[in-house]
Amino acid sequence: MDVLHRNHVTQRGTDGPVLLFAHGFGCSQTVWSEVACAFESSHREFLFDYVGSGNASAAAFDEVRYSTLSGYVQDLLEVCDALHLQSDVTLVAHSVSCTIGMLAALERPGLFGRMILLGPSPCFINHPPEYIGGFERADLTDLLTLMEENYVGWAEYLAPVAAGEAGPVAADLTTRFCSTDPVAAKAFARATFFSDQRTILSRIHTPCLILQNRDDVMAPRAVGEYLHQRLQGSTLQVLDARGHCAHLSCPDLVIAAMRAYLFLTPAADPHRGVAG
Amino acid sequence: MAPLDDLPCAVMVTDDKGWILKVNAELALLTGLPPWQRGGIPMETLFPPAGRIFLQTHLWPMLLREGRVNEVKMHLLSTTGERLPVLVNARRSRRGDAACYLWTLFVVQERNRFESELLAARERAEIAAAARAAQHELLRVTLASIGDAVITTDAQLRVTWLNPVAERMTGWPVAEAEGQPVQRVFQIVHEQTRMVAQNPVELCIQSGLVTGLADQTVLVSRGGRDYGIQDSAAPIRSEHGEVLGAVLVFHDVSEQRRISGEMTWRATHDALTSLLNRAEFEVRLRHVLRLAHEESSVHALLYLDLDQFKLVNDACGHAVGDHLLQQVSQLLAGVARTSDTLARMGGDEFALILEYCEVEQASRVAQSICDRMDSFRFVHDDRRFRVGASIGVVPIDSRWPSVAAIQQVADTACYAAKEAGRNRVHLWSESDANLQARQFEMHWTERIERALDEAGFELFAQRIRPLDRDESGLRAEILLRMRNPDGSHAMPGAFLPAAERFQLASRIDHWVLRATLSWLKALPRLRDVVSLSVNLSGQSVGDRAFHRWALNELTEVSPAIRTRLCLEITETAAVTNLADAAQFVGAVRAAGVKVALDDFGAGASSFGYLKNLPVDVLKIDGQFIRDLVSDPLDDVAVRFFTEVARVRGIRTVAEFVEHAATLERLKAIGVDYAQGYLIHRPEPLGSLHPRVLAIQS
Repeated sequence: MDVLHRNHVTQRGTDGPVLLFAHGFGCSQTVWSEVACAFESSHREFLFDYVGSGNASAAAFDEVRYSTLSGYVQDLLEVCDALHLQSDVTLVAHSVSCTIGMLAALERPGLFGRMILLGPSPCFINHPPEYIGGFERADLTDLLTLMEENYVGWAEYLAPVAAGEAGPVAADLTTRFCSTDPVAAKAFARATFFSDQRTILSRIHTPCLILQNRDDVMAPRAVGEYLHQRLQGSTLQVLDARGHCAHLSCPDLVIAAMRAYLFLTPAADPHRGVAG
Repeated sequence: MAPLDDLPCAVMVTDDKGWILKVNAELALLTGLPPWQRGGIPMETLFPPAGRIFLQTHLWPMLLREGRVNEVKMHLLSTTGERLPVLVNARRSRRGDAACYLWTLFVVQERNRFESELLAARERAEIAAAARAAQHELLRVTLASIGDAVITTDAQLRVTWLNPVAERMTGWPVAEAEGQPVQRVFQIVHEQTRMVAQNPVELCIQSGLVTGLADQTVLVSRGGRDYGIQDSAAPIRSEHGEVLGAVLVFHDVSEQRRISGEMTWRATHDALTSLLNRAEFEVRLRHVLRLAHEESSVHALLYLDLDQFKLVNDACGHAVGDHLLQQVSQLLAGVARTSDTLARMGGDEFALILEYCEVEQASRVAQSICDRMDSFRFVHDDRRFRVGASIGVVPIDSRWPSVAAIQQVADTACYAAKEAGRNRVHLWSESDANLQARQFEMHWTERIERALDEAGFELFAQRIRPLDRDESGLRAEILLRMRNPDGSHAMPGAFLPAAERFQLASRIDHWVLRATLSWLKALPRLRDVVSLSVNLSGQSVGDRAFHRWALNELTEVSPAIRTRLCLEITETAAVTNLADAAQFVGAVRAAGVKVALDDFGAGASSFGYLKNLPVDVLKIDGQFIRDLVSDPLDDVAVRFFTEVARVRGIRTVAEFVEHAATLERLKAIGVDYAQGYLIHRPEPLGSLHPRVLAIQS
């Protein structure tokens, strides 16, 4: 199957350095629309959906492949291959995609020139005393139940409601905003929340910008600092944002931070990368 | 905002960052939050951790993007730490310049329970569906791999599915067959008539019952190939019993039918001649007899026995005999109509049923068989055999109570034909007194046994007269008669065939030989007798036990008696058991007993036999004598026999002499003796006194 089709790869902008946007768990590439819009004139931007999310091919879902993050890492790398992206890509990732991006960077050194990590967390589970991810294992089991309860209804509820309000185009976006397939969504949830990638952090050499929301239950401040300490060449910037989706709730803050990083910090200069 | 407090659901207002701006009384009651409190409390605190994740990863992104969420299931943390299931709805709104969000939270405890049950039910349904799917798959795989062909249809008789075997046999791929009327895909006709047979699916859907297929149904494939099939159709019903369609299962029984056809053929036919066998003949005869009774119709039965078959069989071997039977069968088949029933009854006996045929016509058919047999020559190793047929003709009509009764008279009529001279037809008739008597034949065995035990036999004698001189002593052939209850006598022709068939001939020979010897011994003057001839059956000639017994008997009487005794054996019997016969003949002749070869010329008449079988007398068969005066061929034959006999030093006797002219001619030819009605009609031996005889002659 064609990867561009499989991962519903879309492009914005035609010139300039490459920005590759990767969405987090529970969302799709549509979450990036405002942010991507801001860099459309200066960058060549690629957006995609992981298999099991958004408009990616449902048929391509493989319960084994997508039961761990490596399946999503392969998606990311295959999208790059399909786009013939080999180096100097700036990855813009949210949430679990930050971890996916780091794993991809390890597997394909040189692919990413730098990474912008919005709300990253190497591990959502608490490992006291040294690490507080924010959640207990039991919470994640509850999450799966909650998802089950909602997904059953969503597939049936969302489409007609949205179609009535905003017409067919919006309906498509809405339906695909969250995965409506409970099996794929739960697989992504498990892969995301039961994963612990704290040990890889020291091996990441790609310069990165960590965008830490001030008040985010998913990625507490301590987690951002934990990452910053262990990621070589990382810059930590705290956004004055509540919640986990600053790119949706405060896109201006995200855009400004990204702009500063992209235009003022040359990717080629490693010395700049370690600053901050 | 007081009216909000009256709402029967929890309501709150948040800003676009998730800070709670206001809660109504209901929500305050549920959560313990102070009503209408401004700022300070993030809305995540209303939910347990899993809810928080869901809020952050699903609910908020959606609300931020779409401006609304509908009926999201969450759990609300109550004041008591309970988790209350709620359905969350939210809308974007404006509050001055800033965006805000209005939330309603319905507690759905009861509904939740239903939902949970619903979910559980759904889960079970899914598991069941998965199991069903697995079962369906198993069924599909099973149906695809079984050897039987399977076709399913809907209630309108349209094909819905075929398995690969059905595809192969009908010649219809499932893709093309789907939706076609089943009669088109599954075309069946009757094996023989080729008429379209009723489709079992049609019947089954009409009746709602499992329907089998009529026998002898053939499936005609799309490519025109025939398959003998056996099938059944069963209705497919919904849970409510409504017929949704039918499933048709069938399999190829062509081979089975071929084998069973062959088995049937074998069971009803004679392997050697391919004619019907006796069992099948009897079935058909029964059928025809039933017709005769039911419709008062008239049919005919021909019973046919080959003459001289045994001669060929024994002289040339069984394989050659079989060959002869095959040729004769072909000859008979050429005479019979296709509607006739021609059967081999066993051995050299045949039968022919002529349906709807009067006896006159049947007699003509029988005669035409005789005619053909007459001109037929069986050739083997440059030897030509003349084979005749004795045929009894019997009408099959309502007078006969059973098949056995018909067979009985047919058999008897056949023997009557044989008795009357070979290769001829005897037509049974009600007025045929002789044959009526033969209806006792089924009792012959019994009668023979009784006659042997209770002196039921009586010795007769027919005088034999020398042609070249007068003779004073008694020269005669001993003949046998059986006393009937009414005092009359049964002729040997009546009981000897039965005796031979039931292996009683030797016992009769015992009796006759012993009785003759006793009679001779009892004579006051033995010289009054010149010669008494005693016939031996073919059975005795071939029976070594009889040989021993006879030699023993003969050695016990005086040589004078022995020299007055002549044993007659038929040419056929002698030839059949040539080695044994030659040994026996040698032994009795050594004892002074004479031996005559009887019925000479009736069979294969080879003088070569005479070399190996030295005899004293040759009795020329009656068929050469009867028309001697009028038939030059007979004359030549008799002269020839006589000439050869003379050369070999053998005396000749002519049988069946009935006319004076014949007698004269025999004298002229030089035949030594004559026998027949002209000379003497047989009389009881006891009433023949040599001197009386001499005076009479």
